[in-house]
Amino acid sequence: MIEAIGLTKRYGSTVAVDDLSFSIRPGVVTGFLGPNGAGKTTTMRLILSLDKPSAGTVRVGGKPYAQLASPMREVGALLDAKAMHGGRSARSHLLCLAQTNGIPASRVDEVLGIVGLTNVAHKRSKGFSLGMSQRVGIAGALLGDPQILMFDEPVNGLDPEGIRWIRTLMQSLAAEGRTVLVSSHLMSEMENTADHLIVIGRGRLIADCGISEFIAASQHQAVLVRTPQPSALSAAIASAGGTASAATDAAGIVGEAAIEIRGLTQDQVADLAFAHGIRLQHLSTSKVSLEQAFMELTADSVDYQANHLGRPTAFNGTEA
Amino acid sequence: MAAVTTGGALRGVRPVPPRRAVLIGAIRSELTKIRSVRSTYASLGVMVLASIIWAAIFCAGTAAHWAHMSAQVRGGVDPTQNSVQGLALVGQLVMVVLGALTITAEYSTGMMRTSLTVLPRRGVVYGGKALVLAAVALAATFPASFLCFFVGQGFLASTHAGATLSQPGVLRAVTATALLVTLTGLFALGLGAVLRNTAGAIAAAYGTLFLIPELARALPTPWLNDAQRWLPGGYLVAQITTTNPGGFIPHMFFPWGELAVYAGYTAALLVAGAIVLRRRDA
Repeated sequence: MIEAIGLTKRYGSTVAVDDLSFSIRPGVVTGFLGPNGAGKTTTMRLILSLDKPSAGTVRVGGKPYAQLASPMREVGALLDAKAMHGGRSARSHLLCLAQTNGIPASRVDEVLGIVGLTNVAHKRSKGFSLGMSQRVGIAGALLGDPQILMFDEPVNGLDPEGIRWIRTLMQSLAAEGRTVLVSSHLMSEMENTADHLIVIGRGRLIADCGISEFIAASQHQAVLVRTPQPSALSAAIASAGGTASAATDAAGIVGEAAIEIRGLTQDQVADLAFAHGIRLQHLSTSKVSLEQAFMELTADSVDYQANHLGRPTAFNGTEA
Repeated sequence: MAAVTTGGALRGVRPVPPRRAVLIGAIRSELTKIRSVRSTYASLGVMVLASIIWAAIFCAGTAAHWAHMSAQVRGGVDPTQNSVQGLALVGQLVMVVLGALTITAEYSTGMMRTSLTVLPRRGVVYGGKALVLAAVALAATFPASFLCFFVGQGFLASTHAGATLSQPGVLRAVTATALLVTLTGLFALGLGAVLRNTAGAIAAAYGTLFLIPELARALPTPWLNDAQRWLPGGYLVAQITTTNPGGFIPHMFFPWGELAVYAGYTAALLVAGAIVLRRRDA
C-alpha cells in the first residue's frame, strides 16, 4: 500500500507534482501514466524519500519511506536501469545493495537466476544492453522479496520478448498479493498490463480508476463516415444536434476525407443521410482505445506538443 | 515465476536488522563497492609504484652527489624526507581522485539514487563511505610509506647517510606521510559530497591544496607566515616529512600540529558534505 496525500514538489517556480493524492492497493498492477514530463519519476522519487516534498506526505506500508527498518524487504524499486557503475559486475552491484540490508549473497545468486543473468553475472555491466540492465535493475528490486514493487518505465528500450517477460513478471507479482506500481508513457503497454490506472498530467491527478472506467470516461464514441457531399452532411448533422469534424483516422480504416461525428449514433447518421439524400461511402463506429482516451484526457497537459502539419484539425464545411 | 514468490535464500534470515547492523551493512556494502571497480586498484597501484620510484631516484641522486658535498650541505640532507616526500606528493594527487570518485562516481552514474533507496539513512551511507575510504587508504599508504622509506635508505646505504626508524623524528615523518595522504582522500570525499561532480571536486581539491599555497607567496611576509601556518597543502608536505631540526619552517606548527590543522579542514569538509547530502534532494 502506497498512500500520498496532497503531495507537491516545486523546483523554483516550476511545479513538478501538484497536490497529488492517491492510494495504490495490493494485488493489482497499477499503471502510472502521463506524458513525458508529467511528474511520474518525481512522484516515484518522492515516494522513495529521494526528494523531499514541498508539501504533503507519502507513506509506504504506513510509514514514511526513510523510516522503514529494512527498506529492501518492504519496497523494491527500479528507477533507472542504467544507474549503476559500468565498471562493476552485475553480481558485485547486486551484492553491494544486498549487504546494506543484511541480505545474504546466496539471494543475489538466486535473483540473478530469476532474471536469467547467471551467465553474465561476473561481466562488467558497461557492455550490457538496455534490456540486460533492466534485468539487473529488476533483480535488485526483487532482492529483499518485498511486498511493494515500483518500476519506472521498465519496458523502455526492450525487445518484444523482454516486454512480454516484464509484463508476465509484474502480473504474477500482483497475483501473489503484492503492490505493483508501473509507470509508463506508453498507453498501449498499460492496456495489456495494468488493472488500475493513475493518470497525471503536468503534475496533477487526471484519473484514478480501473482501465475500463478510464475508457468509458473519455468522450463518447464517434461515428466515422466518408461521403462525396461533406458540407451537406455536416449541415444535416448540425441541425440534428451532432458535431462533425475531420476524422483523425489513425488506423487508416476509412481513408482520406473522412468525417467523425459525435453526439449521434451510427443508425441516426444513416437515417439522416438517407433523409437528406446524401450518399455515404463508409459508415462505422470507432472504438475508443485506451491510447485515444489518454490523449484526450492529457491533451491540455502535454508540455511539448507538435503542431499538426498539413491537415486541418477541424472540419470546416467546405468541399474537401 | 514460482521462483519469485519463494524468496528462498531469505528464509531464516532475520527480517529486521538491529540498529548496529545497519552501519555494519553499510560498511560491508561500501567495501564491496570499492573492491569491485578497477579504478581503485589502478590508482593505488600507481600511487605505490610512483612513490617508490620517486624514493629510489631521489635517494640514488643524493648518494651520487654525496662525495662532492661539503660538510655543511651533508648536514642539511634529510634522508627520511628524501624517501617519503614523493609519496606525500604523488599520494595526494592520487588520493584526491580516489576520494572524490568514491562519491562523485555515484552521482555521475546515478548509483547514488539506488544507494539511498536501499539505505535511506543518508548519514549511515556517508559514514560507511568515509570509514571504508579511510581504511583502504590507510591499508595502502602505511605499507607504501614504509616501503618508500626502506627503498630510499637502501640507496643511501653506500654513503652511510641513511636514516633508521629509531632516529628522532623518523617514525613520525613516515607515519605522518601516510596519515597526510589518507586525510587527503577524506578531504576530497567531503568536497565530492558538496559538489557532486568529479571534475569539480578534483579541481577544487587541487586548487586548494596546490594552487592557493603558491598564490599565497604573493602576500606580504607576516600574512604569508599566517597563510603557511593555517592553509592546508603546500608547505605542509615539507613540514611533516622533515626530521632534520634545520628543515622545519619556524613559523609553522610542528608536524603533528600542521597535521591537526589539516585534519580540521578535512573534518569541516566532511561535515559540510554530510549536511548537503542530508538536506539536498538526491
